[in-house]
Amino acid sequence: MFRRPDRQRSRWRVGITQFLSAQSRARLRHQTQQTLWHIADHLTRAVTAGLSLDDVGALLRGDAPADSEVYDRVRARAFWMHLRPRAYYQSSIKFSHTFGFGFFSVLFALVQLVTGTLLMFFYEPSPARAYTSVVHLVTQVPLGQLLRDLHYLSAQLLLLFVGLHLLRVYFTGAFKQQRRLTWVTGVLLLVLVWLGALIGSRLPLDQTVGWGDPAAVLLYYLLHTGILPGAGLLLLIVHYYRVARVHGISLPASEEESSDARVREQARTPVPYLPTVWAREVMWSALALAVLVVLAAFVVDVPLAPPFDPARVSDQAPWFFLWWRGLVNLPILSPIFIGLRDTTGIDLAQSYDAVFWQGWVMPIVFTLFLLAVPYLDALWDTARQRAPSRLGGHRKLSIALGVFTLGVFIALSYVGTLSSREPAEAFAREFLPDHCGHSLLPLLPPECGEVRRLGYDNLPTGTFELAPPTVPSTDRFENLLAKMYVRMQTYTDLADARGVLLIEEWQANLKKITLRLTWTPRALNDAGRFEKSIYLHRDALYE
Amino acid sequence: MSIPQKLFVAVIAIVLLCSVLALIAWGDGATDTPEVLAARAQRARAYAGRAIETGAELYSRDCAPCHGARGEGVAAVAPAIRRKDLFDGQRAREVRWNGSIETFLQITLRAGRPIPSRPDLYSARMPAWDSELGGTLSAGAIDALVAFLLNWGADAPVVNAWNIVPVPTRTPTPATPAPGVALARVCVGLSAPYAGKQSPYRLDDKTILAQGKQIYDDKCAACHGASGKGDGPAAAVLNPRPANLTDKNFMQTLPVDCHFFVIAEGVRGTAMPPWKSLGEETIWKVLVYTRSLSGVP
Repeated sequence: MFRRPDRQRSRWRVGITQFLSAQSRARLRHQTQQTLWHIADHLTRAVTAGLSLDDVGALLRGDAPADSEVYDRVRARAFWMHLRPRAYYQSSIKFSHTFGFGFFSVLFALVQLVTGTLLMFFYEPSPARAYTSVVHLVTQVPLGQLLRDLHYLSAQLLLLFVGLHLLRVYFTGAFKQQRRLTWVTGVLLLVLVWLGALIGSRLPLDQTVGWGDPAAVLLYYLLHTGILPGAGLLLLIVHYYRVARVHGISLPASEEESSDARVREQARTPVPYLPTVWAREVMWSALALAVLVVLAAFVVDVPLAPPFDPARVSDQAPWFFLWWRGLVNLPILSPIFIGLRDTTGIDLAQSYDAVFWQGWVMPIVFTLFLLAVPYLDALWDTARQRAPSRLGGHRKLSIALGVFTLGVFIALSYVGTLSSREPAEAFAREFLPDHCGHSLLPLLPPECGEVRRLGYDNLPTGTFELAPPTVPSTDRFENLLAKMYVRMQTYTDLADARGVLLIEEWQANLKKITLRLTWTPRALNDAGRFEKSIYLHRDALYE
Repeated sequence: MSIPQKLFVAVIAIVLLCSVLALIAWGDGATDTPEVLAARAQRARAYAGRAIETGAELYSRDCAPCHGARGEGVAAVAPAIRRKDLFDGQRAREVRWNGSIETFLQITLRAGRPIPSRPDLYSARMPAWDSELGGTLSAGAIDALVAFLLNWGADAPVVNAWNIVPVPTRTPTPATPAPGVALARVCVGLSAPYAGKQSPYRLDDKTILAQGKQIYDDKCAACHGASGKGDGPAAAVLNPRPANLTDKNFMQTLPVDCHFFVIAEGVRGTAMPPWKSLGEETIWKVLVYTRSLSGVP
């Protein structure tokens, strides 16, 4: 009789174990388990630089490690762990003391490095190819738009956190004594990050930036991808080494200078880096990266305006550049120069150039002053014959100066948003900007204007009067007309103006939208009319 | 927070991060499914559309002064460029250009015409626009202009820009003016298929008049004005001014067949565009309404 093959095979398998006694079977099972455990344990030790499976288990359960020196071994073996301090003072790493600004700055700088390196595969630094290569990146390359969004967003966050880090260090007085040189490297890093962001925004050669020569794009590229990050890395090494190994993160001044010895002692309770601080850093990194990816994926699409056009120099500026525009646009030094000429006869006013004196000399002088802050502060303490103190009560002048300077920057940024345009043009640009541009605040998506956002299909052809809202309508176009009318009324010079939106079929799938404003002329040179047109293509996707 | 709790939060965040990345990758190119290709094509079209917008803006600033607001050319200054032979390859063949139409347009914009093609007909010389060749436009801007020009390709009219052979061949049935009235200039020598065309609708048909008014308000009123006096909101900037459709004397010089021709083909040298794309029926409706404004049959 024929047997079914599967039954035959199963009999054969059973047959093998029949040769082993029950004892041997148990030993075989045990040895197999042992071997597998050894392999897993070995792999874990290799990856964690010395933690056994039991140690990892203890870590995940929150138990103390069986061997008290296991983390010392990890520190000794792993280069990256070796870079970190053995322990931090308990109070120096309170979140409400540092807010992790420095930590997040390094994190976003790393994101910059990674995303920037990937972008270098697609960007072509030549005047003829730069713009096209970015269009290719965002239209053809898988995840290209996301890559660009991540680089842009983490740049914004880096700049924001470096700025906040400086403010925190300044206002807690954490730049004194041994930390003076660390402050200097930090200020230089801020300047590098600021320049990097500014030059980076120039690289796509689109219309959002109104400075620089497109022919010099290779220079900008090398500065942005080589020289600035290289210099930044060198400075960061010095900056970090001093924080990690020379003086540590500052303690809260109230605890460091407390009259109670117990408080001082308590503040310096060591918290081991491994695993306590490490776990915290892992958590914050993961959360920050998750937020960054969600923002880049769903909220912010980086603007790519039309290609650079020398005849249409943009007067837009990213938020971190606004103070500079404000500074250049204000008459700050010219009255001083004129006074100097009138009193002493030294004539600098004749060749006065606001961009040079206010745009270059003043920021450089301010940067030098910022670099000298800890040394000037020490001189001030010496002059007043008192010991250096970080307590707010002992640094009233210093804090007042800081608040004043911050206020000046905010005021200058506000001035930078003001435009010298005629009210009609300013109004027209609110709804029909030349192109999608920077938002005034960091991390917000670019603004393309409400007319574009309404979309080709929602804009009927014809002539439409901007009219006061009558009844609530669900029609988005009617609502826009009413909204434009209401907004026009807020311009005092346009209160009696008549506004007309003229929408024409201009080409296949292309509409021309013209805003025409007419008003009673107020002066001889007042034309009494203004007109601005934009074009909207059916496929352009601004919604 | 204890260490396990922190690590747990980190794991949750990393899972979130990876799933967002995976989601984007799934929809954007880790796979080449039809949906992904369609999404990518849509994005490419969006940028192509934006390039056309940019081109339109550059055209109105840099090109319209010589070539007309809609590429119809300016008499004695520069030829029409919204014309069929430029986009169907005929012109490129005439000048022995072996590349594509796109490169033909590109090279013409970049380098201009060192020697004018027909100085006897057009006084302006095409300058070089590329900033590398002494012009004012960047490479990207020229690409945008080319995209805009090519967008005319599909429905560019036949225009004899070089005036070598007169295009209208005279037909035995010219437009018929009312007795004792001269023909409008555009109507002289009206050729087939327009000459002798008759309206399918009665000029006093109430329904047609109402339908015609709707079309008129939508398409014509911007220039010709709501009442037809040629004083629409867009009229102020136009030269020559849009026709006054209530003017009896003027309308008498425009017989019905020629009136149809004017609406269908536009009037060269003016802002009147061709409306052929509306279809014959629609043109007749708006014509019936327009004629009612002056009362001229």
